[in-house]
Amino acid sequence: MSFNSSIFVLFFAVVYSAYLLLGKRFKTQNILLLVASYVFYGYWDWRFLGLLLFSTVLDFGLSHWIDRTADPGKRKSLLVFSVVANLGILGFFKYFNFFADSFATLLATVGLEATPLDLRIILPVGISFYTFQSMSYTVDVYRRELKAERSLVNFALYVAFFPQLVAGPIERAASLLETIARPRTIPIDKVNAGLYLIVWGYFKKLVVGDNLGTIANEVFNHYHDYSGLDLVLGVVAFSFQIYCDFSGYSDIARGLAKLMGFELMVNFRLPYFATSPSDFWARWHISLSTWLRDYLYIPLGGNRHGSWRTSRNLMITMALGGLWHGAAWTFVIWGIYHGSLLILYRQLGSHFARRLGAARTTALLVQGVKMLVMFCFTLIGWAIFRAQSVEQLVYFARHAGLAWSPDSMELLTTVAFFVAPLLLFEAWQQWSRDLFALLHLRPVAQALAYSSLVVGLSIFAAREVTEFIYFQF
Amino acid sequence: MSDSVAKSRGNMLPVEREGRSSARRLATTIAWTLFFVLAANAGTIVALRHLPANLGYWLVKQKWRMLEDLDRPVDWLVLGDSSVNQGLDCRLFDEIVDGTSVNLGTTAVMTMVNDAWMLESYIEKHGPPRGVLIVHVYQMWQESARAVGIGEIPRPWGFWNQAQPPVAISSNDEWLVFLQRFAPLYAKHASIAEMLKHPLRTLRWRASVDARGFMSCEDYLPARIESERQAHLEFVRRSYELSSDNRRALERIVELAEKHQFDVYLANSPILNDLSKDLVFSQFFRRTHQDIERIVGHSP
Repeated sequence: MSFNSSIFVLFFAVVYSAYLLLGKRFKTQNILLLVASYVFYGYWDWRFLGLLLFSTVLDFGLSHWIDRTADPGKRKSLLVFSVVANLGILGFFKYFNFFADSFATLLATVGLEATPLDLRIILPVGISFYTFQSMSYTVDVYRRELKAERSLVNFALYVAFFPQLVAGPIERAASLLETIARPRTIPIDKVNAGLYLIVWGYFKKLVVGDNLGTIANEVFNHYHDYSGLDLVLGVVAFSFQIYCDFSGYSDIARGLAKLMGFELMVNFRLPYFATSPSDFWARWHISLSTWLRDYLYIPLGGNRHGSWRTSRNLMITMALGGLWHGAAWTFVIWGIYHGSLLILYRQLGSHFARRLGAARTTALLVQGVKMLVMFCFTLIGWAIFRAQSVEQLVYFARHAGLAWSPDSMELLTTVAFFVAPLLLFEAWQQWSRDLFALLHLRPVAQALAYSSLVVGLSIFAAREVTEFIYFQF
Repeated sequence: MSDSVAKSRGNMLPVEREGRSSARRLATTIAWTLFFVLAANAGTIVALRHLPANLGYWLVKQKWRMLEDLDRPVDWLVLGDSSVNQGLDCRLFDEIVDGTSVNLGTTAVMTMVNDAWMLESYIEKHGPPRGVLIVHVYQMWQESARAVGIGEIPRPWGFWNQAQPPVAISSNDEWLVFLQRFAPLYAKHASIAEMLKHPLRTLRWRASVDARGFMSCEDYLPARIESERQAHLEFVRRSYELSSDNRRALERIVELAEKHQFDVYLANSPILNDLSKDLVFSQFFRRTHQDIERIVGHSP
């Protein structure tokens, strides 16, 4: 069930009421939340509950075995088995047809004909998220950063916790599992922050994301009918659609979790105010970028072995990070594109930063220029990400520009109408360096802001349920 | 973890500073939020009276108010949908019928139920007219009375149960009528969204009808009429059935006409000449005509 459906509102009302009634009985609360999480997931497709359970039991058992084993070789073998099993499940459901088709295409280029085996595989919702979350736990146990969790219920809840099960944030066991394993308190500060995140999240998703999505889908699905500025506006619309859709979901997930006394990690820190590629990745989908850093980039060697290997490690990490998003070459190209930006910035960026850093009197202007330049780079990335084919990508590259068309004014005003208030509010958050800046205002001022969001939702939110983009990952 | 990430990058990355709150502060914020939302809703009700973005909503209200404000009887009542609202100038009609008239045409979504209700309301206040002219588009006959239209009629709550013919609406539709009347911020969101997205257009646009209910339109769009030709042909190829709401409304109008001895003229809105020559279209038209004949045929 989607967060923006009436059935979810009813579901959460029932679960939350029962949760509060249980008071300090956290073990019973955990059972309640586990059952609720499986109901939540099963509502999407009950057929994949078995897969979720299998993945959970597998890593629970393997991590225990690793924890009890002293022999380093055996520990490593068990870890490899866990990683291979998890990636195997993910690879089969997500990438089988992609690799089969790509292999057949490759054979065809050298004159060998092959009919790819076409299996109609349904992608289980959230598999990319819970698989990574479960794997990170096993790796942390292997690294002796964690003791294996003794309670299967607790571990199963860690994997399946419904606010973040289908679209993240990808949590770490050290944080979430630790909270699961003890009584929770729900201080009023958390309730206050949680309610803010929920309202703001719904606003971003249902008002900004969905309305801009209409424009983005129109331009990308009928791109041959558009050129010039219209294509650029389509990409801008998509860039805010994906941001608002994904960060909105994350905010709702974090808000719901806060209401129950859980802290989920911050997943977005105003990414479109980034001043460099590395700054962007410190702000965008933070749970994934830090996961890739800790479990892929650093094990590959990170930046410890010279410039060439650092660049190689960055490129591998970003390419695989792109592939994580979906089974298509455009996602890989997107990952490689961002990897290239990171590498180039490392080589060239510091040189320019030293020169610009001296101009203190124009620091604000410089920051603004850096943000604008980085945003332009990000837009190019989103065009790659959203493109349905390389042919579409080439079309965009050839025809995007500033040429005006009869549709341009309508597109521009609609995009500006939804983007401007969002950017103004986030500019204030960036200037305050505080994502919760609103919460420090007086109640009347907060109420004015909240009522604007509620009125916005009432007027602009689509009435039929629209899916969150990141569910397809 | 997130704070340490923020600190390691200087102080550009925003963090989350929850601050201190209290139950009282939170309750105050929620109370003020509710107040502002209700105030915005009230403001919307007022604004929609003066800045209507939806012609349909506005027409229904306007014509019912015109009916209620009518201080003297007229010879002819002109009822129907927007085709007569924009298509019949009472100053010219008066010359044809050699009497006085008022144009109470609204929209097709209101169906003949609205015509029957308006006629009954007029008779209660002024007695029967000399004649009634009802003009509708041919597509109207299959439609049922909808809550979205009923909600716009400025009559007491539940009037649709007492009026003749009564219209039974589901509890879900009653809720829609309630929202239509008292929560336009939610129920009329599409209209309000358009107003906010195109404020200049909204401020410039003024719907108006003259003192006799005629709305003159400056836009003359023959190309658009032509472009809709195919849509009409597709429409008449679907299965057809006279709606029970229209049937009961027509029966009520016949009843009133027989009781009070006035003439009722039923006319179809103008259609493209080409369409009238189309075989399927004329068959559809004939079937509609036969259904109406069955109801009114016995009446003199």
